[in-house]
Amino acid sequence: MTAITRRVALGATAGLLAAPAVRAQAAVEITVHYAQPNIFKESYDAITAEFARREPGISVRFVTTPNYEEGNQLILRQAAANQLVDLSYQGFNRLRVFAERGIAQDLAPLLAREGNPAAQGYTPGILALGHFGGFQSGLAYAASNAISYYNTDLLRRVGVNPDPEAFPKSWEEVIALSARIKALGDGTEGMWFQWPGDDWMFSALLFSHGARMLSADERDVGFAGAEGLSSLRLLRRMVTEGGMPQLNGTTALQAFAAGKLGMRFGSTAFLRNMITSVGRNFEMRTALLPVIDPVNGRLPTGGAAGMLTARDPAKREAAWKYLRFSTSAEGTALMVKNTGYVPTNQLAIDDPRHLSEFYRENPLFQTATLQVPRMVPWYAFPGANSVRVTEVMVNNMARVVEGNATPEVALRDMAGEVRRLLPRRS
Amino acid sequence: MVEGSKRSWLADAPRLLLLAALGLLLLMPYIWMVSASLKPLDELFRASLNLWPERFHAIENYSKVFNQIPVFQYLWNGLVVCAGILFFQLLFAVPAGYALAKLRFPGRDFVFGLVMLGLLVPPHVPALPLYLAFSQAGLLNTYAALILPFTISVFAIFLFRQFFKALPDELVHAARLDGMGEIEIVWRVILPNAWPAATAFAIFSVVAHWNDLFWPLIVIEGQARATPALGVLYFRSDEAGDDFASLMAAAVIMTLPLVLAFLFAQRRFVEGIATTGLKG
Repeated sequence: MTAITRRVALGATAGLLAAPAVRAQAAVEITVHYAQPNIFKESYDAITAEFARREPGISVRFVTTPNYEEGNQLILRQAAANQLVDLSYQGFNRLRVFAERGIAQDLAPLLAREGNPAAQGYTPGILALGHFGGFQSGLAYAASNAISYYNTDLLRRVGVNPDPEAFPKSWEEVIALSARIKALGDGTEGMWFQWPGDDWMFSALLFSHGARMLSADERDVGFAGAEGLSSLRLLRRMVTEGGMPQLNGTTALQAFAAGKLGMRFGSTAFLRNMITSVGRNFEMRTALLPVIDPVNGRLPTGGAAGMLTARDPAKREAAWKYLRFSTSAEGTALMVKNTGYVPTNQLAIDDPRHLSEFYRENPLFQTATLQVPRMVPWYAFPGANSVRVTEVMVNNMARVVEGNATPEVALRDMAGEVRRLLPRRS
Repeated sequence: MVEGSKRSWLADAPRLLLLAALGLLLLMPYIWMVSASLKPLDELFRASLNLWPERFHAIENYSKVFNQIPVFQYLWNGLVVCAGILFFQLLFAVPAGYALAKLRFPGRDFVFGLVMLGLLVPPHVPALPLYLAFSQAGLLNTYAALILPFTISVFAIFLFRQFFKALPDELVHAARLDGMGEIEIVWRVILPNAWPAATAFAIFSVVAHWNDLFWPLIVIEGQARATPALGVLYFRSDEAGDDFASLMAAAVIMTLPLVLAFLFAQRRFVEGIATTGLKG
């Protein structure tokens, strides 16, 4: 009696356990990785909630890393151990490494399934942001470019109109204004340009001249000429004539938020943090970055792109659907509303339904979108030494800013070392 | 009588003042961290220095930390990992130290030389092979991955060996005469006498592994097995700026258990030294 009852009980339990397993096989679970969760978590949660309504059979699990660097290393480690996530959002300039190692997949055929990409909002400019290694290795998810932040109180004190339209349009005017603000005294500094950390802001100056980082065939440097020299000389003049102090990113942010720095030139990604840091200390406004060459000048783009890494066909299809939705007009609008980055779908920019209300209530965030026509990809150096190349450039800029080398000498050294670090091609 | 106590108090005063000033200086970063966690972000960046916030923002900062990360899960993981590591370290190091100090066997000095050699190798060197091994074994993202690499601590073996060398041999001989086996000698005679060394080592071990960022960053993904150091890192961002107020609040929460544990262990430590069994 007891044996039969136990067997029956076990059988019934096994049957009950099997039933959910049969049901669950219809659902696909994908693992998605992204960086900087304290910035992007709400945007991904909002997108996932909306996505679940459209595709109830796909469930999403997230893996996060504190920054793009750790995200880069995570995917490289996982590739070595053959345990890749299905979809990873990487910083733009690191996509190239994955394209060259065969970890990223070509998204052009998947995009072409739905017809002309430009009609879905993926203009050539937006697609170029994720085009590395000769194919469409990623789709841009969130973008940022360099803007001017300024302290309207300090501008008023030197008698300058604080409207964004009246903000200096050229670097000459900026440097002159900076000198006047510094003359106010009491520890007040005029300007700070975000040159430390990486080569992003140097490329902002270089691209504004209309030049390139490397030549078109990538065998030689493109910044060793007049434009590169002009950029370094401008950097030096910011120090000598504009009085730019020797600060790093964190201390400059603190000085600006405390009201001791008149103008700060850096990525729009910082805007949300800056608004909270400045708070009630003073009134902050944003303006376009000063233009050097109005025709050929361009700006580098920071931010993240989604890269498809799944090999299993079912997961690949599900991950593609998620990536496609996160970069669609609805997805990018959700991203903008939760982070303040620049949208990556032209339909979201053009169609007032999506973001006009957001920009009306948050006018400071609109400045970066006005520079979208000038955005070009954040340049990624080829080969295995790309990280060292960035270091070389930052070190030489430091020499110029600190006055340890003239712009001519620093440019010559920079070009020489970068040439040495480029991959040899026979 | 009254003059006597007054004189000693006055004589002590300069020394106490100096110690108090130095103590305050060393505590200043921690005090500033707690103060920063109570302020809103725009007050943190004022040009003036105020310890007490103008607008009390503690509730917003701390609730943001509790909303964004599962704080108690992280603290619990930290506790499990540190306790597990300490348990296994003592389990292996006490007998090993005893054997190296008190027993004679061929190759003893060679083994001790290997232990010293192990002290020279930094933890970053075996990190990559260990990562590959754990990933092949399917052990990534588990407590095992966090605990196993640290279970054999050459520093602990070295420390206990030095400590046990100072214990008198008569103690061991007396225990052997009483008929105790070696295992019994280790756990019933040696360990109680090693209490000060064990507590000192426990402090080193717990601090090092509670704050360790390098290894958890490599083997842990997601939040289920994340440690306190990863919890603080959550609020940093290279691209969009660190959220300093929440960062400070997270740091206070993650370091508070250690501070409380030391305040508690400090008393036990002193008791341990005072009651070590060799006095009379």
